[in-house]
Amino acid sequence: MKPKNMIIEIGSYQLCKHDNSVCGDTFLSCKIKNENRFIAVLSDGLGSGIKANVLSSMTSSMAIGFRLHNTPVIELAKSIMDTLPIDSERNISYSTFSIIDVDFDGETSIVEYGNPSFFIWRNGKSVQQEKEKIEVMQNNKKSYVLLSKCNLQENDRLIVVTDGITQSGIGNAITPFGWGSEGLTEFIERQIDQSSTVSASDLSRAIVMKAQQNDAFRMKDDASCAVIYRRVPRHLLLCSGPPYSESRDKYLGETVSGYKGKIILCGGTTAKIVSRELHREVICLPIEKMRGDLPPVASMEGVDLISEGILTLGKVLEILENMKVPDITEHDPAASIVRYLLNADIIDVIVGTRINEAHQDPNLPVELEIRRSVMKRIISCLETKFLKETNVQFI
Amino acid sequence: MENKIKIRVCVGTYCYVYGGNELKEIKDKLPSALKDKVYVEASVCLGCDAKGVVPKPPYVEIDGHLIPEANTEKIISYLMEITK
Repeated sequence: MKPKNMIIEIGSYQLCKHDNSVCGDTFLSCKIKNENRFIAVLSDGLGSGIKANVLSSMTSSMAIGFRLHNTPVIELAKSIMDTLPIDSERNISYSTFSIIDVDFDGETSIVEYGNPSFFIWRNGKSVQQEKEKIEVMQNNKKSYVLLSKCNLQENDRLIVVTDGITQSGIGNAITPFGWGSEGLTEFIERQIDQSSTVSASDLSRAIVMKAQQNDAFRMKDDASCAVIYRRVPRHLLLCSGPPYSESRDKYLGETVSGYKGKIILCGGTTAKIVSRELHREVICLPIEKMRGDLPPVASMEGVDLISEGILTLGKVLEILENMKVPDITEHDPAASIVRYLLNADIIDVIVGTRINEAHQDPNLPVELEIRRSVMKRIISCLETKFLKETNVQFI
Repeated sequence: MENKIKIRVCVGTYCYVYGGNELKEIKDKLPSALKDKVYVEASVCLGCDAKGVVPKPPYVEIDGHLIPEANTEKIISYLMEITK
């Protein structure tokens, strides 16, 4: 049996210690496409504020660099410890780290130093992992790093946190010794119980938000959480533009009817072609329900969204290019499309290249660019900025 | 809704840019006698993309009758005609 094609979703969230403007924790991740693997590092610098931020940034970027070159764990840990500047007050150099190396088949190795233990979440329960203790000498002092290997299976989640999470709520009547791993475990269990498909970014945010609540909304330490989620990819089909040759209309219709995933059609003509090919009616909204400046959306059986073409796509591109955090609050048609795009992992795009004669009218606004170039920019943005996998077809 | 006159305003790109945007609010501009007799909805395209047709946007369709280069006056006068 052919193994299922899986993807790795990485999500993280962090909050600073109360009254601090920078976070002393750093989370970095990178995808190495030609080696089919991901590297992620979560580091917590000693103390808080700028000093901690420098320590953790150095640690995580060094760790990523070493792992890229497959440096052995002991050497890596030693180099990091030797390089970090020594704190003038405490006379030690210290920054914790958890380095996670996952390949696309789920083979995972985790190196931990000083952070709370990671969790592997499988079928709604936390699974214990064996860890190998490796001795590292630093300035004639013995320290240990923990090395674990495991295989992430379908729907497994790997969760790492910094001590700001597990120690949140210290000194409170309910949690005098802090939230602890037990409290966190119960919380994650409840979250996954409520929604077994909760995304990596939503789960990490929920955990950090709960820690903030434990600290009565005045965080006592920087707190970060990262979730690595291996699951079946979510597909999305985006079609825009009439095919160059009418003989391809049938192909467009068949692709839409046979697609497994979300489907968006952009463009009146495109929607009409699909409607004709599949004998499905385009259902329009009553005018009263429209919002925003863009032409309104319509719907069709089996299609998730139908919008106008080039004006809406132009706005989609604008939103994607200017977006800083993947969080969107607007509700116009372009924002809905962006939401669909960001929720998908693999985006299949079909661009019809027939030139719409009507759009060549010189009296039309210049913003009405050629579909092909707008689509190309949307795709490149999805690939490079949002790390989506895209497949494009021009028909 | 069944007995109402159905006005479909094209909101395809070309029509939308050429005034379909404003025509969406046609209901507010109708005389009060007509206002309650109509139901307005959008349409993704009423046909300006057909080959060989010189498009005359914006298009509006009233109970199956297509009005090219539609504007408020044209719509009102057609509505007056059919409701006479």
